[in-house]
Amino acid sequence: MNRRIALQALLLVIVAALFIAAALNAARNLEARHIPTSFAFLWQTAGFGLNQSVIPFSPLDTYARALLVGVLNTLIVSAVASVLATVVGFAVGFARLSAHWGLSRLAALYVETLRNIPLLLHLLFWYIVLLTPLPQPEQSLSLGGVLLNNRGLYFPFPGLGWPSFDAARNAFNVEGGLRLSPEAAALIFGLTFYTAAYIAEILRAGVQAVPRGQGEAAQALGLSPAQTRRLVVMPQALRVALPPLISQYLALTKNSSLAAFIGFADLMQVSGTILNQTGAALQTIGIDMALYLGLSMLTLALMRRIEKKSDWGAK
Amino acid sequence: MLVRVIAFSLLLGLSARAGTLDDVLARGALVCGVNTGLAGFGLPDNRGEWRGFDIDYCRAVAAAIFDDPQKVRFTPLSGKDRFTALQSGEIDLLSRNTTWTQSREAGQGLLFAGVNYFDGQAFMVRKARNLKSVRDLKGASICVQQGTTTELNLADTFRKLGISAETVVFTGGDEALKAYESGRCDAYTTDGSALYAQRLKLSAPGEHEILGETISKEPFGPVVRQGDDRWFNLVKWTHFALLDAEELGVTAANVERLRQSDTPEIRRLLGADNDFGAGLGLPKDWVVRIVKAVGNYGEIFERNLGQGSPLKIPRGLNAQWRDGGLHYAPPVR
Repeated sequence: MNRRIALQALLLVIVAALFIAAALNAARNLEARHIPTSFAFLWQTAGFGLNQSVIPFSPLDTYARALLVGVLNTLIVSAVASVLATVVGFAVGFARLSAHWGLSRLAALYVETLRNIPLLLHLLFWYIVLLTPLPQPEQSLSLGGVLLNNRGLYFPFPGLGWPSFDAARNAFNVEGGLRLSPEAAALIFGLTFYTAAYIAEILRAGVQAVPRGQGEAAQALGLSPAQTRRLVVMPQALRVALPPLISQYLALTKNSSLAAFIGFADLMQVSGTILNQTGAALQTIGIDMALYLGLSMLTLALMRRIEKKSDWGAK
Repeated sequence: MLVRVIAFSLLLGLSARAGTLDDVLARGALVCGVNTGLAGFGLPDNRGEWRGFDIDYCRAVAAAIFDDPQKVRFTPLSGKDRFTALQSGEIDLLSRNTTWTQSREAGQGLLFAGVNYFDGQAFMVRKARNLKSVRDLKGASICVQQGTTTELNLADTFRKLGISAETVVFTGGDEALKAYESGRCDAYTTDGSALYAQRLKLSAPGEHEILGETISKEPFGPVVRQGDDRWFNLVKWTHFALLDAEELGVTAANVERLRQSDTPEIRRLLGADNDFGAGLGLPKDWVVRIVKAVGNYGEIFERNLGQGSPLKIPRGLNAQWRDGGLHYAPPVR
């Protein structure tokens, strides 16, 4: 027994020594190649502008703040898309399970088509679909103070005023109001409809995992079909569905990193600009990895809470 | 990118490198980092052969070393990858419309061997808008491709002018151009040289114009690692030799004949008398090899970017100093 522990300890020491030697070696070589490894650049002035931010940001702010803007944009888009994907996914999932033949086939078609097309194509598709038919700002569509053009959807908002186009003030764009940009919309649509296809299948798997006898027993006890679904089938189905569902939310957050292809200022896009300007490749990629890991842990913690509260996960 | 960084970190242990020239000679080929595709500068043609201004610089170096412009392996690199590839030794030479800046030499261990193309960031807009200068873009939406100092220059300029604009940043130039064409943006900005190339991709190039004003200095040049002076000199003098050859009227067509020329400058350049190659680790006739393979600077320019190409970029700042341009190479003597 003691010998085994001694062997394990020896192995641990060897592995640790290897790691330390590798790290020291890498540090020495990085320095020899003049590759920057300091994180001090984070407090330098960013110098570039960002068109989408929920916190005030100007080019005079630091790289760290630019990164924060990117993280918040990723967070918001992922949260909104997760909720929408769940709604759409459940709707499609129930349609797939429906006894109505046409509805069920339609849902199956949705799932098979959407999940077999790469996400990047979804995003580019939505971006083009949103941009092509929309008018220029001069000819904005207007409904009850809300303006729509190929630069975005503008809502009146307290503090930001009513959106309006005034060529004397700004010859190019609508001013005022709260804006949803076509980039954010395309990203949300793309992530939502793509992820919904997977969520629909997860729901179907969950429901079909509940033994048929459960539903029959509930009905024999006099529960209505709606009650059967709500009180007997769904709690058990969700217990099965929850772990893969969580994986989907994690995947969605990570998939949002394709945003830079359609011009949305997410974490990857902002850090890409920072990498280009500072040349701090190792640090920037390290920060990205840590932040995505952090976002995933956050999602996981949140889902665990929901799981505990709802009692779906109970044994 | 990630794979590159990880592979790089793992390979760091195996350094202890001889001189770059020795590596190139031992390998039998130059490894040149180039653009992933930019018309005029570096793009494979329909037979898969790389062509362009930056490509010819790689070939010129290969010709000087091997007397064979084909002994080059091209590694296409994105804006993000390029410096890591050079720092890690994956490539010997970076020839990829890269701007010479202070931080790239002082902070990133790189050396620019000279300026082979004087560029500047410019704007493409719709002719119908009738815009005269950058100031007229107040409040406009501007599409930008990520991967350069473009976003920084843009923000600086608008800050200086005291006006604001929306910047929409894309990873790829094609996506940025498409967004501009669809009307999402009022202007598209990148280096002037690339704008000429990208305009040809629009469905109606005639409806778009490139504003004459440039908002930055973008001196492009070939880049090497610090710490190998001999290699740095070789690349630098390949560049100067191309310029000197143009200045002295030495072309691909007449270089062999001019070896018997009576003009002292030409005799020295072509190694007819003394040996100026040895100090660079090259043979006496190094300039003959270069010019025979790719022509002089002017020939490279006209063939890839100028009147002999679809881009039709005027020489402008890139003319010889005698013709009002900025190119002024030190003499070979």
